[in-house]
Amino acid sequence: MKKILYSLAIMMVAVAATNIARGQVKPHVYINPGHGGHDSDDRNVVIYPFAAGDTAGYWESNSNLKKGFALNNCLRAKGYTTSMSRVANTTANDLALSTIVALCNSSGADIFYSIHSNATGVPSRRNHILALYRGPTGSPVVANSDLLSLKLVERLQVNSAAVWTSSYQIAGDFTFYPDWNNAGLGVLRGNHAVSMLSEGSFHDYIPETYRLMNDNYCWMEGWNFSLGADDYFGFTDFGKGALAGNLRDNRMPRVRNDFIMFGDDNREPVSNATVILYDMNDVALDTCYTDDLYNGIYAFKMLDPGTYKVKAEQEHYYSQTKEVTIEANKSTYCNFDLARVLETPPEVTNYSPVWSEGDAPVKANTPVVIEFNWDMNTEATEAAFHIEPAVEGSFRWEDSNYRMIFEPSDAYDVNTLYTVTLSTEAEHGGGMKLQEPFQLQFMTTYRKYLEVIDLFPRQGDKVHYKSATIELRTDSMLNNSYYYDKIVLTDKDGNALTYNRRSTKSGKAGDPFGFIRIPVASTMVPGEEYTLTIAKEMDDTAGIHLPETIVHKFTAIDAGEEKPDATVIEGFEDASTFSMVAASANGAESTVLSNSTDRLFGSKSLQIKYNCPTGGDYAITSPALENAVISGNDELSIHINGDMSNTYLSMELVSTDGSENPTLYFGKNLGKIDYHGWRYVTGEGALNRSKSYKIVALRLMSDTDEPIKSATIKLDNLLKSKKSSVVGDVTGDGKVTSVDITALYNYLLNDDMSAIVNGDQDGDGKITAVDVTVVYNILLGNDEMPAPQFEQATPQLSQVKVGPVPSSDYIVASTSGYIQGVELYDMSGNLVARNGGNYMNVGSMRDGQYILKVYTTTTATSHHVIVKH
Amino acid sequence: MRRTLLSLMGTWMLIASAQQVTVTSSTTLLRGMEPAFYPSLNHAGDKLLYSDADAHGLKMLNIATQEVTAISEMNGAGYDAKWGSDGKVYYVTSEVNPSNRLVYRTGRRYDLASQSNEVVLEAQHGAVHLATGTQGMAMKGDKHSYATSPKRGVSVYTTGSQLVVTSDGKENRYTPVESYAGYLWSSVSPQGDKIAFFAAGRGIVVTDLSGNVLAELGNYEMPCWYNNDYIVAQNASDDGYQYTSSQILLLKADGTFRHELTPKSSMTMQPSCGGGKIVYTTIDGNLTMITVDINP
Repeated sequence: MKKILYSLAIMMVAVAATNIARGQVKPHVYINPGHGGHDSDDRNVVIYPFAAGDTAGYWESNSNLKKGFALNNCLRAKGYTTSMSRVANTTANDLALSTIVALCNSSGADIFYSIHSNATGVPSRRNHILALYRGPTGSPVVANSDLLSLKLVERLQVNSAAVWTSSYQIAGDFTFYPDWNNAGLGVLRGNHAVSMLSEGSFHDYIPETYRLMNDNYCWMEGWNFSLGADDYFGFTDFGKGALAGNLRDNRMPRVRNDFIMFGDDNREPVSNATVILYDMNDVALDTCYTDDLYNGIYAFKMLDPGTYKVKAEQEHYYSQTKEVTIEANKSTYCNFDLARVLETPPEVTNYSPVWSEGDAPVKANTPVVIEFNWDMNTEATEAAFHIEPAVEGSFRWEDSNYRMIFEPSDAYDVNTLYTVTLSTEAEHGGGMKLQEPFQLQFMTTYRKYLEVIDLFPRQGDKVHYKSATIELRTDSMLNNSYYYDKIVLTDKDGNALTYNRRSTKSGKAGDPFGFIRIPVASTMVPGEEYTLTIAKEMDDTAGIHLPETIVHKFTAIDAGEEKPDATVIEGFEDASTFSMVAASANGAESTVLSNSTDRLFGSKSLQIKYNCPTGGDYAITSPALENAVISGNDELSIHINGDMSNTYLSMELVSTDGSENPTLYFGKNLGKIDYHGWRYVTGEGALNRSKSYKIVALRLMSDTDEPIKSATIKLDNLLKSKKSSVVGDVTGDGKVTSVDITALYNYLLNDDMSAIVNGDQDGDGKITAVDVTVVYNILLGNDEMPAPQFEQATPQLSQVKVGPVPSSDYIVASTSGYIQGVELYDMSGNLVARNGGNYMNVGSMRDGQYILKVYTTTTATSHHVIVKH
Repeated sequence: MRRTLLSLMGTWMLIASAQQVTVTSSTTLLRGMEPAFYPSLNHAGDKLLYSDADAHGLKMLNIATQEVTAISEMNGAGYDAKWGSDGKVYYVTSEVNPSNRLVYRTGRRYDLASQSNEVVLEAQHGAVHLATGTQGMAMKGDKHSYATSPKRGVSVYTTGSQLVVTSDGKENRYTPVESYAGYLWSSVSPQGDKIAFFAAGRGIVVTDLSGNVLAELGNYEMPCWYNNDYIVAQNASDDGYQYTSSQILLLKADGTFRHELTPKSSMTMQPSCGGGKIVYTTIDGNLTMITVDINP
């Protein structure tokens, strides 16, 4: 086989005329087609329709050898003498680097070309020419190697059949490979010819990969190498030229498009086309064909200088003829943008949603998809698209413009009939219009957004720093995918905390609501602020997402801090002394008292597992409780590890003199277990300061509306301490200030009792607006203080809108107020960029998830955003 | 054919298991002075030619005294410098002609006694091959050649895929094995009865003086005669751009024995033999000289 190949090569040049002047010394060129053997040090790029490893597919050794053959033939035709390091593609022919160098030196070569193509080695793609010579950039080890490189790349760069992402690059290999410690490229090390290694293009840029599969394309590169050699030696008298080009559809996007493309490579190459070369008298001189490997390349070789006509034709396209002028010692490129033959009007062949009266309504974010029999003129067709009621949205085209997709920017209105009309102005790429207007209708469902029932931690919460738990409850079953991308907990520096993913619990199919409960693996720092962000993209199984991103800020605390002024009621945690009975007609269900090692103090806590039906009410009694005598001036505190069951925990007390009916201490609002993790809770209730009390029982009462009936709480260290004797001192700091008013407001608006020690100022057993008035009066002596407007309590959702998500160029924030600036953080909390306006240019930023922090005059909100180019 | 191969393999295994090679000494040369490449030991093994990574310039190390003598600063001088049987140094330099940009090569000789250089072959375009002989030296150019004497014992050089053997003044050209890319690194055994050379795509081949193949030793490079029965060679691999491994091997000239003197990961390369010593360098130019004991 090798002999045959070599003989062919010799035969092809046998008739060539020597262009080097008579008597002039012939340069000797050593040609090294890089790699070889389809083996481990070769480069295989898998492209359709070839399987990985298929030697008929793309291998760098194949294209390098084709170029090498072409160069060898061109040079010999021009009168050079040549040597090639290989003429076959086997491992044995893939010579060692030192062997190639020695062969080159032994051959007496004047110049040495090592022919390669490049690859990025990373997911990004580019396509440009790289020429390397031995030595530092600007100081070649062998004189003139930089000049040889320049002469070559200037000839390669004119190839306009390719799409270049940048101009050529020339460098010394010491500079280009700084980590190689000046070892440099093996084929240049010790090479005494004027030498260089060419990476002619990037073979992992898939459109280029397909071009490199084409024999004519490789021939043109070999021819251009020979022109580079001519330029280097100053030869100008060969007298032949070459013509090549690319045939592409004039508008249709590439059908096979699952790879990165640039510029004209986005359009479909025209395969199986015929290209005919005519003289100016319309006499056909030569014919060339594009192959079926998605490159559209043609070439005519060794042409005499002059003017020609080139005609490109393919059965599905209108033929096109161009006039070209061929110059000697030059490559001429002539690309064709061919128009497809579209002989019938466009028709709608398929669409969705398909809906008719009586059908189930469609979800509120359903895209409108319309498919056509031809590839459409996207601009005209989008202009012909109307939807009523009007909806903002964007168009996307697929399948080479055969499929149009309209996606609403936000969800449609609920319970609304929408009508989509495509007018007869819609046209295909050939300019023919739709014959009849097309119309479709659909009715939307009652739901527009995913509704949050509850989210813990809440805005402004105080959360025990260890073993924190996040819980999100929604009105429908959540989409199980990518939870963790949409629920982000960060510290004050923006660093993401880690989750215990294995212990995450989420809703099951059939649940009446959606929830996810995520234990936080990271331990927080007491006193520091943390941010919980739920991305707008959090969606349910129907794809309905949140109306906007939710950001809750909360503070880590140590719920187990020592209370030096309090007395521990002994024996409280001993489960064996407790018993539990149903205190109401609803009865008890599977309730268990036990001890747990999850505690704040000592060796155990009291654990209560319960399964409450609606309205369930349990009394938990113990002699340890009854033995504790409580003064009316005392207040009771307890550490509760909550389960977010929204069960109410109370304490039933009775006066020791029997003069009072049992009193529910830990009033209903204070004892609601609507949180996770340990909390220190101080009881509130109306106790007569002149009497003594004993604890009759703990009372556990279920909320009539809560969906969760089964839960587990833990109790630790029941404490008694002297109640603040100062009326109006809500926080127990010994003085009455505006802080006490704030604490009461926080409780009334947000159920936040974390700062309250003594909330019931008027002694009526509950905290109401009247207690606020009492404190106001003490502070101001003003009886005209307005009553608090509790109904103005606002949801914890950010009012700042951010979009679009994902973003490719700008992310814009909007709100009803003035936005002072925005900051973009990566998911590790590092500040990426800052801007004084309401927008962030992300055009040059890497794809990924980020947090956009938006500063208004009064707030700073964080939003989960995605950058995708 | 299959039976022959099996038989050969069996013989090899028998002999291989019976032989032991011990590295009896290992000395680092030029430690800390400069990186050294393309080492060439003289016949006595007491002097060493070397160059830089690009074979620019040529120096000589007196191994006993560690004295270094600069012989040339010219391009290519170190690439294929050889010791003549007369004890002089023969080497070829190359220069790019600024007017026509062709490469011209000049044959030179260095006389240790007078410490002088002289041109023995004027600059010419094209290849110049050095032919070392048992009793002389020749430089073969495309246009002009030079020889220390018409009869120089047995000498050999390669050009393309030809082995050019001169014996008693008579030149013969042989193509013992097929190799499209060509032959390299030919040398005559110390007793002048065998020739070792490298055929690209095949590896090291040992022939008699008539070009008859005696053995093929494997796809290794840069063979040098350790003694009349053993050859030292380089075994390197690369990824097409740079070396990924390289080691020094000891091979029996009849193809029945192979021993790794250095591991593949050592990046050792470019062996040279002389006076019962072996010198090699590394990818970054660290020279080592070893002696070995081969039993039996």
